[in-house]
Amino acid sequence: MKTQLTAAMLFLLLAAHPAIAGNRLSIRLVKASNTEGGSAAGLSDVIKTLADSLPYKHFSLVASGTMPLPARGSVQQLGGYTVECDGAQSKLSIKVKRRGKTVLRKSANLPDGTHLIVGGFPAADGKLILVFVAK
Amino acid sequence: MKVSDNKLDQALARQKPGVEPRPADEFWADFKARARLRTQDAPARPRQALAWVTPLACAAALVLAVGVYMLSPPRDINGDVIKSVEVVASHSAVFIMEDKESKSAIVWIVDMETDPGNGGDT
Repeated sequence: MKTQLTAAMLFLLLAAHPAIAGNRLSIRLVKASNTEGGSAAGLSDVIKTLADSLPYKHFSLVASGTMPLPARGSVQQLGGYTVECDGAQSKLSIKVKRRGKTVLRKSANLPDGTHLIVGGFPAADGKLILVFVAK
Repeated sequence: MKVSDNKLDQALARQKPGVEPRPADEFWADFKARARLRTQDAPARPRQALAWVTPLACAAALVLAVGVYMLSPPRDINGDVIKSVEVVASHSAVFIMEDKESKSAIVWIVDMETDPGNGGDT
Protein backbone atom coordinates (compact mmCIF):
# COMPACT_ATOMS: atom_id res chain seq x y z
CA MET A 1 0.00 0.00 0.00
CA LYS A 2 2.77 2.39 0.93
CA THR A 3 4.68 1.48 -2.22
CA GLN A 4 1.61 2.14 -4.35
CA LEU A 5 1.06 5.45 -2.64
CA THR A 6 4.66 6.45 -3.22
CA ALA A 7 4.44 5.42 -6.87
CA ALA A 8 1.28 7.47 -7.28
CA MET A 9 2.92 10.50 -5.71
CA LEU A 10 5.97 10.16 -7.95
CA PHE A 11 3.71 9.83 -10.98
CA LEU A 12 1.85 13.00 -10.04
CA LEU A 13 5.15 14.79 -9.48
CA LEU A 14 6.45 13.75 -12.87
CA ALA A 15 3.15 14.44 -14.57
CA ALA A 16 3.30 17.95 -13.21
CA HIS A 17 6.67 18.45 -14.87
CA PRO A 18 6.10 20.75 -17.85
CA ALA A 19 8.30 18.73 -20.15
CA ILE A 20 6.12 15.71 -19.57
CA ALA A 21 2.79 17.38 -19.09
CA GLY A 22 3.21 19.08 -22.47
CA ASN A 23 4.26 22.66 -23.06
CA ARG A 24 2.60 25.21 -25.26
CA LEU A 25 4.17 27.67 -27.60
CA SER A 26 2.94 31.20 -27.27
CA ILE A 27 3.30 33.40 -30.33
CA ARG A 28 2.65 37.13 -30.25
CA LEU A 29 2.74 39.67 -33.04
CA VAL A 30 3.98 42.97 -31.68
CA LYS A 31 4.17 46.33 -33.37
CA ALA A 32 7.17 48.47 -32.53
CA SER A 33 7.10 52.16 -33.29
CA ASN A 34 8.28 55.53 -32.13
CA THR A 35 4.85 57.05 -32.27
CA GLU A 36 2.33 57.04 -29.49
CA GLY A 37 -0.53 54.59 -29.65
CA GLY A 38 -1.42 51.05 -28.83
CA SER A 39 -1.18 49.24 -25.56
CA ALA A 40 1.61 47.18 -24.12
CA ALA A 41 -0.91 44.96 -22.38
CA GLY A 42 0.05 41.33 -22.68
CA LEU A 43 3.73 42.13 -23.12
CA SER A 44 4.79 42.55 -19.51
CA ASP A 45 7.16 39.58 -19.66
CA VAL A 46 9.04 40.84 -22.68
CA ILE A 47 8.58 44.60 -22.80
CA LYS A 48 11.85 45.34 -20.99
CA THR A 49 13.86 43.15 -23.33
CA LEU A 50 12.24 44.80 -26.32
CA ALA A 51 12.75 48.32 -25.00
CA ASP A 52 16.36 47.64 -24.01
CA SER A 53 17.35 45.95 -27.23
CA LEU A 54 15.48 47.68 -30.02
CA PRO A 55 15.45 51.30 -31.19
CA TYR A 56 11.74 51.78 -30.58
CA LYS A 57 9.88 53.43 -27.75
CA HIS A 58 6.42 51.94 -28.02
CA PHE A 59 5.34 48.35 -28.30
CA SER A 60 1.80 47.09 -28.69
CA LEU A 61 0.26 43.66 -29.03
CA VAL A 62 -1.33 43.14 -32.44
CA ALA A 63 -2.33 39.49 -32.24
CA SER A 64 -1.47 36.35 -30.32
CA GLY A 65 -2.00 32.63 -30.37
CA THR A 66 -0.75 29.37 -28.92
CA MET A 67 -0.05 25.88 -30.14
CA PRO A 68 0.87 22.62 -28.39
CA LEU A 69 4.41 21.34 -28.27
CA PRO A 70 5.85 19.40 -29.87
CA ALA A 71 4.40 21.14 -32.89
CA ARG A 72 3.26 18.99 -35.76
CA GLY A 73 2.88 21.39 -38.61
CA SER A 74 0.75 23.64 -36.46
CA VAL A 75 -0.32 26.91 -38.01
CA GLN A 76 -1.19 30.24 -36.48
CA GLN A 77 -2.54 33.23 -38.34
CA LEU A 78 -1.30 36.45 -36.79
CA GLY A 79 -2.18 39.67 -38.53
CA GLY A 80 -1.18 39.19 -42.12
CA TYR A 81 1.38 36.53 -41.29
CA THR A 82 1.14 32.77 -41.11
CA VAL A 83 3.41 31.05 -38.63
CA GLU A 84 3.96 27.36 -39.18
CA CYS A 85 5.83 25.33 -36.57
CA ASP A 86 7.06 21.79 -36.55
CA GLY A 87 9.13 19.66 -34.21
CA ALA A 88 10.09 19.44 -30.59
CA GLN A 89 10.90 22.35 -28.35
CA SER A 90 14.62 21.62 -28.56
CA LYS A 91 14.63 21.69 -32.33
CA LEU A 92 11.70 23.79 -33.37
CA SER A 93 11.34 24.54 -37.03
CA ILE A 94 9.53 27.81 -37.69
CA LYS A 95 8.35 29.10 -41.03
CA VAL A 96 6.82 32.55 -41.47
CA LYS A 97 4.72 33.19 -44.52
CA ARG A 98 3.22 36.33 -45.93
CA ARG A 99 0.40 35.97 -48.42
CA GLY A 100 1.27 32.33 -49.01
CA LYS A 101 4.94 32.95 -49.61
CA THR A 102 7.68 31.99 -47.19
CA VAL A 103 9.62 34.99 -45.99
CA LEU A 104 11.61 33.37 -43.21
CA ARG A 105 12.68 29.94 -42.04
CA LYS A 106 14.50 29.22 -38.86
CA SER A 107 15.33 26.44 -36.48
CA ALA A 108 15.64 27.09 -32.78
CA ASN A 109 16.17 25.45 -29.45
CA LEU A 110 13.55 27.09 -27.30
CA PRO A 111 13.93 26.24 -23.60
CA ASP A 112 11.12 27.04 -21.19
CA GLY A 113 10.64 30.74 -20.65
CA THR A 114 13.14 31.81 -23.27
CA HIS A 115 11.92 34.58 -25.54
CA LEU A 116 12.68 34.18 -29.20
CA ILE A 117 12.14 37.54 -30.80
CA VAL A 118 12.09 37.79 -34.55
CA GLY A 119 11.62 41.29 -35.89
CA GLY A 120 11.98 43.59 -38.80
CA PHE A 121 8.79 42.77 -40.63
CA PRO A 122 7.62 45.94 -42.38
CA ALA A 123 4.74 47.91 -40.91
CA ALA A 124 3.44 51.44 -41.16
CA ASP A 125 5.30 53.71 -38.74
CA GLY A 126 7.49 50.95 -37.42
CA LYS A 127 8.19 47.23 -37.55
CA LEU A 128 6.40 44.06 -36.68
CA ILE A 129 7.92 41.56 -34.29
CA LEU A 130 7.10 37.94 -33.56
CA VAL A 131 7.71 36.81 -29.99
CA PHE A 132 7.87 33.07 -29.31
CA VAL A 133 7.83 31.64 -25.77
CA ALA A 134 7.50 28.02 -24.72
CA LYS A 135 5.94 27.45 -21.31
CA MET B 1 -7.11 -38.53 56.52
CA LYS B 2 -5.85 -35.76 58.66
CA VAL B 3 -2.24 -35.84 59.63
CA SER B 4 -1.08 -33.96 62.63
CA ASP B 5 1.51 -31.28 62.18
CA ASN B 6 4.02 -33.24 64.20
CA LYS B 7 3.64 -36.32 62.02
CA LEU B 8 3.87 -34.29 58.88
CA ASP B 9 7.14 -32.77 59.99
CA GLN B 10 8.49 -36.22 60.71
CA ALA B 11 7.34 -37.52 57.38
CA LEU B 12 8.96 -34.64 55.54
CA ALA B 13 12.15 -35.12 57.49
CA ARG B 14 12.30 -38.71 56.23
CA GLN B 15 11.89 -37.59 52.61
CA LYS B 16 15.55 -37.03 51.88
CA PRO B 17 16.48 -36.87 48.27
CA GLY B 18 17.96 -40.07 47.05
CA VAL B 19 20.56 -38.23 45.11
CA GLU B 20 22.50 -35.20 46.14
CA PRO B 21 21.70 -32.21 43.93
CA ARG B 22 24.37 -31.48 41.38
CA PRO B 23 26.45 -28.34 41.63
CA ALA B 24 24.86 -25.34 39.97
CA ASP B 25 27.64 -24.96 37.37
CA GLU B 26 27.29 -28.54 36.28
CA PHE B 27 23.51 -28.24 36.13
CA TRP B 28 23.56 -25.12 33.94
CA ALA B 29 26.26 -26.45 31.66
CA ASP B 30 24.12 -29.50 31.04
CA PHE B 31 21.03 -27.35 30.62
CA LYS B 32 22.73 -25.16 28.01
CA ALA B 33 24.06 -28.18 26.17
CA ARG B 34 20.57 -29.62 25.96
CA ALA B 35 19.15 -26.26 24.92
CA ARG B 36 21.58 -26.05 22.03
CA LEU B 37 20.21 -29.33 20.70
CA ARG B 38 16.75 -27.82 20.23
CA THR B 39 15.80 -25.21 17.66
CA GLN B 40 15.32 -21.95 19.39
CA ASP B 41 12.80 -19.45 18.04
CA ALA B 42 14.35 -16.14 17.13
CA PRO B 43 13.20 -13.34 19.30
CA ALA B 44 10.27 -11.47 17.83
CA ARG B 45 11.32 -8.51 15.66
CA PRO B 46 10.44 -5.18 17.14
CA ARG B 47 8.04 -4.34 14.30
CA GLN B 48 6.56 -1.40 16.09
CA ALA B 49 9.95 0.22 16.41
CA LEU B 50 10.69 -0.17 12.67
CA ALA B 51 7.22 0.74 11.42
CA TRP B 52 8.25 4.29 10.64
CA VAL B 53 11.25 3.31 8.51
CA THR B 54 9.30 2.62 5.29
CA PRO B 55 7.28 5.85 5.20
CA LEU B 56 10.37 7.77 6.23
CA ALA B 57 12.33 6.20 3.37
CA CYS B 58 9.49 7.02 0.94
CA ALA B 59 9.36 10.59 2.18
CA ALA B 60 13.13 10.87 1.84
CA ALA B 61 12.94 9.56 -1.71
CA LEU B 62 10.26 12.11 -2.54
CA VAL B 63 12.24 14.93 -0.99
CA LEU B 64 15.28 13.81 -2.96
CA ALA B 65 13.28 13.68 -6.19
CA VAL B 66 11.83 17.13 -5.59
CA GLY B 67 15.27 18.45 -4.68
CA VAL B 68 16.81 17.08 -7.85
CA TYR B 69 13.87 18.47 -9.81
CA MET B 70 14.18 21.92 -8.27
CA LEU B 71 17.95 22.12 -8.25
CA SER B 72 18.58 20.63 -11.66
CA PRO B 73 20.06 23.16 -14.04
CA PRO B 74 17.31 25.09 -15.78
CA ARG B 75 16.91 24.13 -19.36
CA ASP B 76 17.51 27.68 -20.44
CA ILE B 77 19.77 29.35 -22.88
CA ASN B 78 22.94 27.42 -23.52
CA GLY B 79 24.18 29.66 -26.24
CA ASP B 80 22.47 28.06 -29.15
CA VAL B 81 18.86 29.12 -29.09
CA ILE B 82 19.09 30.02 -32.73
CA LYS B 83 20.11 26.96 -34.70
CA SER B 84 19.67 28.44 -38.13
CA VAL B 85 18.03 31.37 -39.89
CA GLU B 86 17.18 31.66 -43.52
CA VAL B 87 15.57 34.87 -44.66
CA VAL B 88 13.90 34.21 -47.97
CA ALA B 89 12.42 37.67 -48.39
CA SER B 90 14.52 40.53 -49.66
CA HIS B 91 16.64 42.10 -46.91
CA SER B 92 19.98 43.79 -46.38
CA ALA B 93 21.23 42.25 -43.12
CA VAL B 94 20.38 39.93 -40.26
CA PHE B 95 21.43 40.54 -36.68
CA ILE B 96 21.30 37.80 -34.09
CA MET B 97 21.59 38.63 -30.39
CA GLU B 98 21.31 36.28 -27.46
CA ASP B 99 21.09 37.54 -23.91
CA LYS B 100 21.42 34.88 -21.24
CA GLU B 101 20.50 37.29 -18.48
CA SER B 102 17.09 38.08 -19.90
CA LYS B 103 16.73 34.61 -21.41
CA SER B 104 16.07 36.00 -24.83
CA ALA B 105 17.31 35.70 -28.35
CA ILE B 106 16.64 38.31 -30.98
CA VAL B 107 16.74 37.90 -34.72
CA TRP B 108 16.47 41.29 -36.38
CA ILE B 109 16.12 41.51 -40.12
CA VAL B 110 17.09 44.83 -41.64
CA ASP B 111 15.20 46.28 -44.59
CA MET B 112 13.04 43.21 -45.01
CA GLU B 113 10.58 43.47 -47.87
CA THR B 114 7.65 41.10 -47.68
CA ASP B 115 5.53 42.55 -50.47
CA PRO B 116 4.57 40.06 -53.16
CA GLY B 117 7.05 39.81 -55.98
CA ASN B 118 10.00 40.82 -53.89
CA GLY B 119 11.23 37.36 -53.06
CA GLY B 120 10.20 34.24 -51.20
CA ASP B 121 9.13 30.79 -52.20
CA THR B 122 6.16 28.81 -51.14
